[in-house]
Amino acid sequence: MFKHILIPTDGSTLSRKGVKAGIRLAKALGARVTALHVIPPYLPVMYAGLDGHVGGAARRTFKSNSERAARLALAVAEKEARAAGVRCTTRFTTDPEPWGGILRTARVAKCDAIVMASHGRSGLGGLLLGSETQRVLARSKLPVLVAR
Amino acid sequence: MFRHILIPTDGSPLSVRGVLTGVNLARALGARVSGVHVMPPRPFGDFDENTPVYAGLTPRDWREHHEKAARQALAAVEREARAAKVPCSSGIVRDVLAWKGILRFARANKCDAIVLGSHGRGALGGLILGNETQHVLARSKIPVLVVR
Repeated sequence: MFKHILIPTDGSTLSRKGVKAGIRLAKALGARVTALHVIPPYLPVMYAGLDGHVGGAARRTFKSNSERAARLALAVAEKEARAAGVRCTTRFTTDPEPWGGILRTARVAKCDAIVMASHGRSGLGGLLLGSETQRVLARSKLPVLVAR
Repeated sequence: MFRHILIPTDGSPLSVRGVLTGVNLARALGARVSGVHVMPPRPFGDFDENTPVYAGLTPRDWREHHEKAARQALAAVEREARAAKVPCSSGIVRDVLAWKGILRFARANKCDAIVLGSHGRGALGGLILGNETQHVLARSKIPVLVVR
């Protein structure tokens, strides 16, 4: 079945459901996983407030902050994977749109499935599907498992 | 992992991909599958079964046409499951809205995952997600695997 599962995470509590489901599935199938965090590109202060970016941070501060957030999010996945005895690699990449980074990484790392939570950081409750999940679903050529 | 995978199908070539992946996943996980086809309810009110109501067709013709389509769609699931030696049952649900019928069947039969194609009969091309798939994703309480 699946040999290499991509698990995108933004580090939010909701996206941890996707991490857990992905690792459980990998364990059941004997697959390995790649955990991924997508970092938004740096926006100078004149664009502060757009797209949820916090303006004012110097480029270097932005970089170190977002990479720390990425490592934190990925460490959670790595810990879960280790506990389950699943082989896990972690990556982070920069992309203006998380879904773009997710699909690019899936291609580059040759994953054969994506497991993600129905909502991430900007979740709006249980009724609708998270926006990034929806975009990944609309454009992915790979099967996508949406965990609740 | 999953013990009982629900595979909704409308018999269209696109939904067949969901059938194949669903059965493969069930085999890999040692799970069983249920095929389900949602059929629209009889729209003719109190008309007699054998009286032509439209273009020389009787409500019986209408029902037989839909039942045949349902049997054909479900036969594909059963065939694949038998070939893969996966335990399989199947059922027909009557509902105006396919996604509602799918989720009702999943609840009633205690399925723990749904595998379905990204599009069914109402396909509009590869860019967006099928209508019913989107509704299932938005409302399902159990994980949904979307297959392209």
